[in-house]
Amino acid sequence: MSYHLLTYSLIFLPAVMLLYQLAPEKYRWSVLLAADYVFFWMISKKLIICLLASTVITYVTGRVLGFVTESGKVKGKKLTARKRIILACGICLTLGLLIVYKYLRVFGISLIAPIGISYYTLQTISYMMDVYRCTIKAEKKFAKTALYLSFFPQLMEGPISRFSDVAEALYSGKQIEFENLVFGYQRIIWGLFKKMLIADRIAPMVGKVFNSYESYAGSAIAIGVICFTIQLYMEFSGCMDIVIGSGQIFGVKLPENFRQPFFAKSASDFWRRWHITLGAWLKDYVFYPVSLAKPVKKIGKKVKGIWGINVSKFVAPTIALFFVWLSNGIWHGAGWTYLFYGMYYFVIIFLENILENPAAKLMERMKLSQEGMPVKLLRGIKLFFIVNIGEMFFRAPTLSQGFGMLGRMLTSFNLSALFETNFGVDGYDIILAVVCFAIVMVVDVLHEKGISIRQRIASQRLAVRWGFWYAAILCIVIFGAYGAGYTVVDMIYAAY
Amino acid sequence: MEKLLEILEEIAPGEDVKNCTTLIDDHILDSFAILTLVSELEEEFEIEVSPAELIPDNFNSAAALWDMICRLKEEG
Amino acid sequence: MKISKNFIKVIGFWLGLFVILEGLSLAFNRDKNIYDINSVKCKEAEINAEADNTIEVIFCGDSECYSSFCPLQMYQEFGFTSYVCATSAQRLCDTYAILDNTFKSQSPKVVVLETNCLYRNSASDCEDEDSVMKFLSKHMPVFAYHSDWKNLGGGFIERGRSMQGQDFKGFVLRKSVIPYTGGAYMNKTDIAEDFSDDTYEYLDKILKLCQEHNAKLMLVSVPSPKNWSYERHNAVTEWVKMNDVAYVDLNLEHNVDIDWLTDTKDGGDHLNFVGAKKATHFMGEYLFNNYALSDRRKNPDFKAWEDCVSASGEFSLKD
Repeated sequence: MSYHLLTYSLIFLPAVMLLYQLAPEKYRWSVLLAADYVFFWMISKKLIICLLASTVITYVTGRVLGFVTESGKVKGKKLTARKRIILACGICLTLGLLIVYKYLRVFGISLIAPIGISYYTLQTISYMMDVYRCTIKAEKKFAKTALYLSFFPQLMEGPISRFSDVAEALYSGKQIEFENLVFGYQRIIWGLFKKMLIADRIAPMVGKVFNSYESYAGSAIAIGVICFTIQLYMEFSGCMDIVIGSGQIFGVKLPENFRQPFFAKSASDFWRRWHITLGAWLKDYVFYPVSLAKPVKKIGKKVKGIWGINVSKFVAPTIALFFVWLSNGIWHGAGWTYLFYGMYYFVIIFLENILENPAAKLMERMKLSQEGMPVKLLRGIKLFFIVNIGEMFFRAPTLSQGFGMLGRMLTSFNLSALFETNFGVDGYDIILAVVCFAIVMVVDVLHEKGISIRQRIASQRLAVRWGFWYAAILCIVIFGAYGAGYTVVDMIYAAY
Repeated sequence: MEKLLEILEEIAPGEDVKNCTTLIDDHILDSFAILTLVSELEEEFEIEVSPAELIPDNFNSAAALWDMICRLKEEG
Repeated sequence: MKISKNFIKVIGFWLGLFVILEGLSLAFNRDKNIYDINSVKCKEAEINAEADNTIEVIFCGDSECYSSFCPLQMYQEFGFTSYVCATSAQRLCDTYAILDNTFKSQSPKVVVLETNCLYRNSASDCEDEDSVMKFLSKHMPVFAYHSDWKNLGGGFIERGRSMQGQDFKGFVLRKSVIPYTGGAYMNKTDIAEDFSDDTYEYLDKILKLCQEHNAKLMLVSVPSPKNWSYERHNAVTEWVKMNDVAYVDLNLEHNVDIDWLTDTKDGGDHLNFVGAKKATHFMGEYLFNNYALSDRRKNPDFKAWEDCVSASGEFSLKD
């Protein structure tokens, strides 16, 4: 079972909807919870124990934290100290499970990880931290915590949500609204469009280039790398469309994970638009705590004494930034490529931060406007290189192969070889991929301008509306990259 | 309050910091700016801001910030 | 009231969709005996581009086949001409279609069929982990044959020579190395892993087709720990004995001397360039010794082959 399969959107999802709707309002949450665990069972079987264990740990930690805070037996520093110990225990346990399944392979022990463990573990931590910080109250109902950690649409690939955002809606058992149902399925169609028309279509050429880059000229490798960036965006954001659409059907508003990333102004802006919920999680639970930690503040003060505020203001954020990107890299998996990927963005965003003011001054002196065409263009080109080189190392089988690809692009680019290269996809596929990508980009431009296409269509006459969605479905059916001659590709981010 | 507005203006020059109620939501303050702001506030008002306080509700407007400062002062 | 109105809308929408899909299915319906029509058409275009009656040996099969046998090398070493008609994940129904077309312009003496495709779904049934997709493909031709749209405009984009730009006569050159370290995999046994009924049927059809065109059919299994086993070897042996067809299993031929640390591109699935050279040399010798093939190397009519060899450029077939 996976979200891009029709079995999910045409059998599993409707079945859950039907049972949900038929159940009395009071028990609807139990239909959802049952669906979550059936979904999990279908993929990971017995490893469901892990999910259950994490849920129990999270629930108990929350309850104990809540009890200690409310009972009022200890106060002040003693209370904080006690709460810290409880929180640390909870986090160590759920994080420990993640480490066992994901990182023991460093020592040669490879275990098959339960599906979505990287995602729900982050949610366990965010819940426990939020209870610790008193931004939410410890949940008394076990079912609510379990629902929050296992909602089936977001189980495999996120988005990483917060308890305060979704738990209430999950538990409330509101009936399915017709409008939500329609919009939800429309969003699922859009997701399938991205996945089946673009991502799966260019997947073979991406695989070919990355698996045997030695036989390709630099220019062909560059095309392969760009295609991977596109594939990843289409796949991941397409999956998010299916996930968020599914959530909407049940009246659960899951957080968006993408916001037109290719229109970002800088690398840090890119990360506020790409895998948003991971970035937000790292900001709240790594970046702020580290930069406000006492030792870090102390270092900041020392630096201020020596070099003054203009230097010291970068100290705490930079230290925190290092940990954010270290976590980001490692979260993706135990591999040098991921570590490199994290550190790569650390360096780039660090440079962006310290160069921001000098660059603005320079532009002022040169009388260039921030919003002028030349600046925008340069910024776009810079970001294009940053993102694509980053994704290249992210996808490369090993770090040395990543550098090998970079080397080939720099030393033997050989543009003319491109026209003789065959990527294993025919001309029709290339044309179709380009056209569909252009469609997605147009939609992104409209979204960037704040125009909602779904709303626009919904306000049309019935014939126009239906015509549009029929056309969209037929596009997928006829032009989709499935069946003879194609292989349906497993979701990339489900592996993290 | 005057002091707070001064600090805000320094961090986000050219913005209407006095009346804006979407400092976070509209990305006027990014995470770097928030940290600079926090360290300035800690020094100016002799408070300690914990990570738990770093939520949009506390940082979206000058008024909300002022509330937070007052509350932390009392607690401290 | 509102609920029932919405209900009618939903039903109406699905009914409409069903009618449209059924209608399109009429348009997309076609000969069910071909599975991957685009690969078949590509291969047909390639073969049709070869000069008539110049090819003596045809290789058929899936990617195992086109990664292993290099016609240009066989030409260089032994002088006979051949062509690899293998396509990715080829099914026997497509093998039949490609062969049928090939016999129209070529009169090969030998047809070599690589055996990995005997264990694929031989007919045009959809194999998909998505059971809804599988169901739809079975009952609505528009799902099964949707990729036929590529042929609707009469093929306005040129096909053929699709894999690499260079003309390797169907061979696909791959240089990457991922070693196989699983050890011995051909463990002697008497058990046979039988083919599906479909496969037997298509094998008979292919054999008959070859006989009709005076070509000798022979089977070959290329070295592949991932795909081959003694059980499979036994099943093929049984069939060739019954039908009096030649069979060579390179997995058991020590003279091929595959070094699994260097000769496979993906950990024992396909051979890479180095492994292909060994397999090609062995098969070239075998074919040359066992069938009356001609040496075309000094023949001015086959200058095009000489040009092909010298044009292989960067990917030189010599080390």
